Amino acid sequence: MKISRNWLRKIVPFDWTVEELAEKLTMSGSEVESIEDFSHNFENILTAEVKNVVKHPDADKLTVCEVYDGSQSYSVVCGAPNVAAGQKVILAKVGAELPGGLKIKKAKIRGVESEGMICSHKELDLGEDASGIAVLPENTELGTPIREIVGEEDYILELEITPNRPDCLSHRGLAREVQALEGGRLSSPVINLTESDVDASDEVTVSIDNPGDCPRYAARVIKNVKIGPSPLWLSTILHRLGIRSINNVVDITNYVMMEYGHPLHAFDFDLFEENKVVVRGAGKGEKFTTLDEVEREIPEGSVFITDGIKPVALGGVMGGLDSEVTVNTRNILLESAYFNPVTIRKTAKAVKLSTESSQRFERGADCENLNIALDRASALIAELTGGDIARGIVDCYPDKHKLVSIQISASEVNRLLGTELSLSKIESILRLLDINTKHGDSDILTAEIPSFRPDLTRPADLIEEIARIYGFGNINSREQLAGSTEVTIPESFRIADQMRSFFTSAGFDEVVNWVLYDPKKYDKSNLQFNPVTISNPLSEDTAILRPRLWGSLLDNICYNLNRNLEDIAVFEIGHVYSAVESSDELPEQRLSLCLAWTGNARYPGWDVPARPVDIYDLKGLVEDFINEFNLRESEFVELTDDSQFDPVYDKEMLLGLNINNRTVCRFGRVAGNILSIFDIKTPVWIMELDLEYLQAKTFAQGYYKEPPKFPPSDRDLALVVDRGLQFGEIYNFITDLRLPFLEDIRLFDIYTGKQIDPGKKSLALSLRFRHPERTLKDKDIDKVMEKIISELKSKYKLDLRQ
Amino acid sequence: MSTLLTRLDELRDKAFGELKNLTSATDLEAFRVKYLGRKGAITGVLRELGSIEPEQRANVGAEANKLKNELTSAFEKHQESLKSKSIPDSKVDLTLPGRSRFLGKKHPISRTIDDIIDIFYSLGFSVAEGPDVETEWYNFDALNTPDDHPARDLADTFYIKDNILLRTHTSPVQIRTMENNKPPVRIIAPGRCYRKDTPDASHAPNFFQTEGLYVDKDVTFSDLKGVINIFARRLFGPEIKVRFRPHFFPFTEPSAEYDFSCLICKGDGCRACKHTGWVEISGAGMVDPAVFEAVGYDPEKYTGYAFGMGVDRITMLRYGIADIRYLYDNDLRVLRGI
Ligand SMILES: [Zn+2]
Repeated sequence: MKISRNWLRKIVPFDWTVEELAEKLTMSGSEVESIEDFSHNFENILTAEVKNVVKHPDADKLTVCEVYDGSQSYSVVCGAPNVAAGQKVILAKVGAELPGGLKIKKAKIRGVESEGMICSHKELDLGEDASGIAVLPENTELGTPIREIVGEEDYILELEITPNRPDCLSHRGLAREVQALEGGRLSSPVINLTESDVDASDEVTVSIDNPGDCPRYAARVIKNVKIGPSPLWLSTILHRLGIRSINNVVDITNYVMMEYGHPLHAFDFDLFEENKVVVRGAGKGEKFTTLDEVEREIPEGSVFITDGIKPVALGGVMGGLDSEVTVNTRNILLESAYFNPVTIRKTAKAVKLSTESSQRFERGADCENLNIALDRASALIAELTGGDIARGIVDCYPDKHKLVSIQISASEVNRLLGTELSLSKIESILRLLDINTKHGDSDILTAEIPSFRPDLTRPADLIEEIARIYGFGNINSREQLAGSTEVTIPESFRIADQMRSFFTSAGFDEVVNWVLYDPKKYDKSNLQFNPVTISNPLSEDTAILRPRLWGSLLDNICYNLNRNLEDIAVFEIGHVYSAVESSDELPEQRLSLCLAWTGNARYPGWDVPARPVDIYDLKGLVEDFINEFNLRESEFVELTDDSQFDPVYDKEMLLGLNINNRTVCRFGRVAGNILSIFDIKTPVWIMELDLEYLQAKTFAQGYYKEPPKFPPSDRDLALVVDRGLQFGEIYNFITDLRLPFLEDIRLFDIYTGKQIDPGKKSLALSLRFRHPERTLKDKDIDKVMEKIISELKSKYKLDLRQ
Repeated sequence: MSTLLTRLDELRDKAFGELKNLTSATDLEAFRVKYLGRKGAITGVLRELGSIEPEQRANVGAEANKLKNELTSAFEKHQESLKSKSIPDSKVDLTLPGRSRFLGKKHPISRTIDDIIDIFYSLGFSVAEGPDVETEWYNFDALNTPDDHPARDLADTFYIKDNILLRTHTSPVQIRTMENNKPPVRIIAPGRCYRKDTPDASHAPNFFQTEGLYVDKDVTFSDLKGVINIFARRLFGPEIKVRFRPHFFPFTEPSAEYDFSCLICKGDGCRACKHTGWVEISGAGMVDPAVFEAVGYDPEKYTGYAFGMGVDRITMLRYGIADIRYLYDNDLRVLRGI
């Protein structure tokens, strides 16, 4: 919503600077988003008449005009295609400076002297039209300085008006705000309405079939109008407010809308088939061509204004093309109606048409005072077009709008605001907002809500008015905290926090990605997904909620590899989503963690060699994780079954972690076909963790264990075994022997090479023995070692290495 | 046999090479243990004599002992020469870079949410959560925003299907919390929100918000101002200023937007604050009686305040990030620097 500082000041006096005005409006709820300065001195620029036009002797597209400003004639070379003798125009004389900075000097143009310039609207920044010179109405007085018409100084403020304040979509509404902010008193324009002898009710009848949707329809008839361009003051103010000038009648309806906030519509009354207005609901499948020349299917129940035969307007939204006011229009019907906000909103939404009119009606127009806007516009139209206003308003208003009154006490106000306002202070604030109040001796005040404030229906609404005019800044900031309640944090936040600490300590950077994701990336991966799909996505590549996190992380890897980073270790904690069958249930959302790792596991330093990440780095990380969070009942599993296998991973490089027999973590190398989707050419390792399951089930705390009292004894054992034999088998075999005193088995070296048979490998184990109650003797351990060796030898074909 | 002799040769080269560079007593001792000690490399070779053919043993053994003697005398000489040298030469090079553990960093958004939770937790606020995918009831209707209300246009909404949408704010958590708890209720609810905004420097279609709600007897607008002021000072320091401007939200009455003074220009006006000196943080207000009715609270008995908090915006303000998209680029050169 744009307002003119000058226009506002005509309605309500104030002596603030434009910045002060903006500050006051912003701090009372009408946020000023920008201030545009339209000030210009317009010196030596005035109205004039083109007396004579002759062709330029040396240039086809130029003319030489004799321009008369009421006292003197000037010879002006003009390039505009539309220039013609008899036009009232704007002349910039020698010495003038145009708003764009162009200085008008005496000049020879192709050999002909020019004593000025006939201006277009655009050149003077008084309109958008740059196609030709500005042609003013025929009755324009000559020699009037332009600055007397449009002013030397004006500022246009662009405001954000909240949807509850339809009244502020007008200069008068905002002037009332200024009044409440202790500017001067609001004044009303003098409406010089001269009516003819013709009775409007003889010219037209109005009936409403659907008063629920159109509670009131008022109209005036204005005959013998002469449609033409608007005078400069009118086209200029509309231009500054961002409204295109059409013709004098349409411009007046827009002007009065910007003044009073009430949308009006003018019809070419001669195009009505019958002399009546019938307001009715649109039937099923009805079509209608609106002013913008688009034929639209109108939703059932919308409001049609008809002439008894055919629709002439889509009520409250837009007029019809077939009854548009044109240069040929002679007689007009001027509508000032009130429509049900919900009806208008539904229609505007359905036909995807948000107009100045629909925006006001759907927020709530002023049902009671619409005749004032009608009179104001009629008087101005008569003045500008020479039309005759038929006597009386034809007003169909079956059920009079009921005024609301709200009772409120000072204690109620202070209870909500924490203030100590007196009843008289409250009363004076409300009165400045033109809300009448009365109260007897009681401390309860009755506020009579004017019809232009449909937003005020309850005491809370009034309290807001009081607070905002009193000033939020004047309300104390109370910084003691009252009362106490038990304070809790959900498990999901706690676990996410613990994970963040663990993984950052382990060297991973946290990333945060969009949830909106590209379905194509997951489609290409041949995975089974049941994604949650957005029905109205912003774009195709943000059309689903990510079903897993790895896609985002591979995006991050790709992004950073492309920026010359090589060693990347990142993780993200977030929800993953999958659709559910039932239509009224919400999709499943699970808290998940994923990390991705590429490049070196250990960053190279001046004495630390680089080493690329492999599966044992991930496994070690998971082992640390198990230890950190006391994950009991956990075991690593090889996910080899087709049912367990996950094609994101390389089949041979995939491991799972089961807790209570459920796979809650998978980790391994990303399969090559997945990497190619993301255009990544180096190996990437990922780990996925189901935090949703972990948080609920498995976190155990650790308990005190008495440290051992007696020292351990370590024995090394180097086994030369077939290369194919896995460490885990040997480990489990020894463990299953359940030997006395054996506390731990640690693998400290694997050797293959020259010193042993090529088909073999040597596993070097360190076995730790300890007795709980005494120091072990060598012979105790020797016996156990012998047992281990003999059991191993009988089970496997192996040699010992000394 | 040749392998043992080769190893002795290699040992010789390596050991004499290393010895030259030794400067400290610790290094010398480590060297001694490594090569000359009882478990040292040369002894290691001698121990393996048993594994080679007897006729070779004498030869290899002699070579090993020779190396041991030469190395021992060279070692002692070097030890002496070090002792006689002046101290500066033997100084440890403390300018060498340390061996980093390469810790990761938390994302700035997480850090902001952590700090928000810490502050409000200390003020007696519990943390609550709700689903990102919501019903129209929780996101709109229960928040006094029926379908025919123009306020629904305030946020362009992503829909999954009829009546199911991506929440446009964290306010549904207010409703879920009040439905399940009797007053007093004092919560914050950080989480993701979604709006159909084309990404630009200040908009992303998914972003983070933190909701706040306090309902009890005698909660006032003055308390709302208080809690936001405390929060602002704790997060940004005592210099910060807060202002409340009237605004409109269907679920609060009175409604406000609140701004923090710009941290970059200290309120003088700069590009980041569009020359106003203020940065808009989010909306707040007193819970609308219609919301209390939707959750079965008695508006005669209880009052409450609610506030939102743009987590992304606060993060940008804290770390001097000019464009919201930088938060989601996850450029490690940036994240590691913050
Ligand atoms: Zn600034």
